[in-house]
Amino acid sequence: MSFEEALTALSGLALRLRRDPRYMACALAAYREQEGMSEEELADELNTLPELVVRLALCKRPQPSSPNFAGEVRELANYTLANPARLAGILRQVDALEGLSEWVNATSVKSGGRTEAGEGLLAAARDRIEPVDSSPPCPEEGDEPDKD
Amino acid sequence: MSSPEDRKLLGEHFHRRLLSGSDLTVSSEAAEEYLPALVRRLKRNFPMLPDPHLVETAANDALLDLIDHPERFEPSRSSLFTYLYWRARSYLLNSLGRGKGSPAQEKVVELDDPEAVYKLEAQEADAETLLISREYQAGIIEKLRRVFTDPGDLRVVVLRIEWVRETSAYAEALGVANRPEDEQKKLVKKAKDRIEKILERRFRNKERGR
Repeated sequence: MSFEEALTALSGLALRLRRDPRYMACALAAYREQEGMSEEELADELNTLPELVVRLALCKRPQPSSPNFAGEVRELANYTLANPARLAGILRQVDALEGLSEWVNATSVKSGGRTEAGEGLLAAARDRIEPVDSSPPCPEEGDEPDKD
Repeated sequence: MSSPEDRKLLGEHFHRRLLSGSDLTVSSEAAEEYLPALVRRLKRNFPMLPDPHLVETAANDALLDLIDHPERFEPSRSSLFTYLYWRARSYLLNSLGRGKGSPAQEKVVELDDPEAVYKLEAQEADAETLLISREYQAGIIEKLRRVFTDPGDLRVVVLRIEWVRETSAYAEALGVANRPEDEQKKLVKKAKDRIEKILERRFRNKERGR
């Protein structure tokens, strides 16, 4: 089996895990979608090789609420040569926007429609995610970010 | 890790880490170690499948099942690779069974006798898994070689992605193992900082070129 075949097998698994919020694949796919970024651009943003982004995608996702969040991010960064500060930033952005999306959905259900506060927050986030309140937490398989 | 005993220990090591439930990288490490070899063996044993993606799906199912339910694997009964192979084979046959009756499904032939495969020398399967895993790692190192031209830096990077933590290993790679411990630590840290800078520079240059 060649290197490319092995990489294809691992990339296939990473693609499947885009729908599983427990994995980094899901967070990275959400970030790419928010930023309209290609896989190579994401690797560049993390200062690492695309092959090591596949490795990163197959790792479990640290939770920002975890008391050891910084240590966990450093661990992933070490294992994948990624820049730890950028990786932490990506996770925080994805989590914040997912949390916002969930909150808006919850308040929308409670009040039977969107609250004003929810509208304001969504407006602020809308330049990053579109549409916020109808997006699943992770992109579906085959979804590709829009590129200008 | 290369001897059969080492491979067995590696499987048990992965298993313990999976059981701990708090290890963030073990899913990725296990995937790199076993998934490509699993796909290869399934493809070889089921060469006439109507849909070649069935093999990848079955291999992924087996690995994800192990990650989610590591308690189902009993290290005393088989090697981790053999266990994964049998889970994947079972998923594959189930998915083929769902489509039974179509002419294409009837042509599916498993080349190796299942019992023979089950009794397959653990050594043979382990050797193949090791070879594929090493080839994959070598491919990644080859790509890193284009970024890190200094052999010392490259050795440090390889240790880092191979998950080596002991300062002594890094000191050895840098050729400073004979220095006092404090000095070793400083030199290793310096090398790691240099590596970060090289990666940062590479990123900035690519950004500018875009």
